[in-house]
Amino acid sequence: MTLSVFLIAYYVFLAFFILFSLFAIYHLARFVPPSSVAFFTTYIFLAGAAIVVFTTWQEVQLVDWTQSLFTLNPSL
Amino acid sequence: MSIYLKKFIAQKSYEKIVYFLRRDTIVFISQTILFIFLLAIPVGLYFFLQTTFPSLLTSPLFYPLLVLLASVYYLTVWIVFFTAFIDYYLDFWIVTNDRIINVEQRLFARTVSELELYKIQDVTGESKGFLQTMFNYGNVYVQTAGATERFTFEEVPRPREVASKIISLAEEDRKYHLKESHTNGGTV
Repeated sequence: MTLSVFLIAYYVFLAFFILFSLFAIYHLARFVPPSSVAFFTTYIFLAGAAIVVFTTWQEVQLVDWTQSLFTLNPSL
Repeated sequence: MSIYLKKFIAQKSYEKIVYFLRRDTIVFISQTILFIFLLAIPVGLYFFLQTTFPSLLTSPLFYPLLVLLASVYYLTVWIVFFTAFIDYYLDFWIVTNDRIINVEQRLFARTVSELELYKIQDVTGESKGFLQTMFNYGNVYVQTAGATERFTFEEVPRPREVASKIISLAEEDRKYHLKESHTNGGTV
């Protein structure tokens, strides 16, 4: 088993996150008349999510995901 | 505001909006403070690990795992906060001179219900606890004559003022319906 198993789990989470985000934004767009509040909140939400994902990507891009978990930690 | 009416109800020619109510702003502010606290937890945890287990933060196994966990945590808190805002923003009560409209938003569910003012029997406004008393917000319970459950305006500003206004509006609406029924020769 390689370290990439964590990355796959993270991608699965990201897929759910995107799905929920789209649903939440759809709700806001569907039930709130176009307004600066709705636009501003959606913008802040998307910007915050982008910052978190970008920071995560920057932090983990140098990790060698092909390394075996058992080599890294023989106790596993 | 009339854009809301157009979206949710067919406004009658004589109908005027008396109140458009959401939960009090203080409710959303207290939620925001809680979320700020939740966002600060990983930062505290990071400093704790740095001082007690510094090797974990340089470990080729644990460091990427911690980064991914922190990312999952932040994204979860972020979307919960966003849905809490949507819940706050899309839950509202409209009081007109003819009826009360209750719009409730839940995840994957939206309920719009209404109540004719002349059917109202009792209205109670209450503020419970320190925050509600301090900031003058609370619940308004509207009881009807029928077997239907009572309407509750949750955590709205100035509950007692809203309650007494609804009582006077209901009285006016009852008089109007009585007059109308006498004119038509029928019953209410």
